[in-house]
Amino acid sequence: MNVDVASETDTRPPVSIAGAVVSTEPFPHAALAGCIDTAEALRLLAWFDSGAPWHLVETDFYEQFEFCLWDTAAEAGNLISPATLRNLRAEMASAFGVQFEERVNVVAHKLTPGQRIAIHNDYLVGEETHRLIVQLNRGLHDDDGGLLLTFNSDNARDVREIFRPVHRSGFAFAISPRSFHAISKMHRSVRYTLIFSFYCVDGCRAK
Amino acid sequence: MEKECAEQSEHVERSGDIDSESLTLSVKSIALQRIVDEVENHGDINLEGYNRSYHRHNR
Repeated sequence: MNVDVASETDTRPPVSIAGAVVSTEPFPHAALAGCIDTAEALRLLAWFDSGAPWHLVETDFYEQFEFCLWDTAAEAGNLISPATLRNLRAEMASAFGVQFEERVNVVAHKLTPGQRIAIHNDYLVGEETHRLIVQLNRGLHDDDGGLLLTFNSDNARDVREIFRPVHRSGFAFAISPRSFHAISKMHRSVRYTLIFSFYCVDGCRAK
Repeated sequence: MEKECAEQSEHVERSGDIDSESLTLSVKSIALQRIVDEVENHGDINLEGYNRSYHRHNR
């Protein structure tokens, strides 16, 4: 990937979770507002609305549009520059008290009316150990759907917290057998998210 | 249409001022049963072995 020299010298990263406070229950997580730069968020919205290479993925428990930002390096720009990812990796490591491998996976998701993601935990042995979800939208009301739910168990009735998909907000969490979460059905509008996935060095995965 | 776009842009800009507490909804404040129904799995699904990560392109 070619990296613009100027992007390496920017003092303010486009995505940051600086100041995030991690709660430990029901699994380690942190929610924070304004974790992506305003101008960058608007640029991404324009791209996602018009020319992004979305493809539909359907499984037993979810349906969504997605694509990998590594496949669109020119449009993703500074968002996936080495400097941005290095900074974000350091902030996530500090917040969760772990160390990460250098690799970071970055994908974009789109949910449209009728789509939802049922309760699941993202847990796979040997795969990603932490994620950061960044919300991008043009303003969603609570009854538009797309709410992020966390659970105390694998029972969907055991709701712990409900997070609004507030534009530019972030939700970071440690993936484990107990990191049960879901996205309620979209009823109106469009909900975009950026998903940054991190990989713990051996031995520091959440239990 | 222009008015609608302007209102959306204003909403987008305003939302940057939201604090972390406004990010959450009270579990008692919404139609929880409907939401639960929307995210409940039906049938025999192994959540730990069948996961969203399978569909990602890890690099």
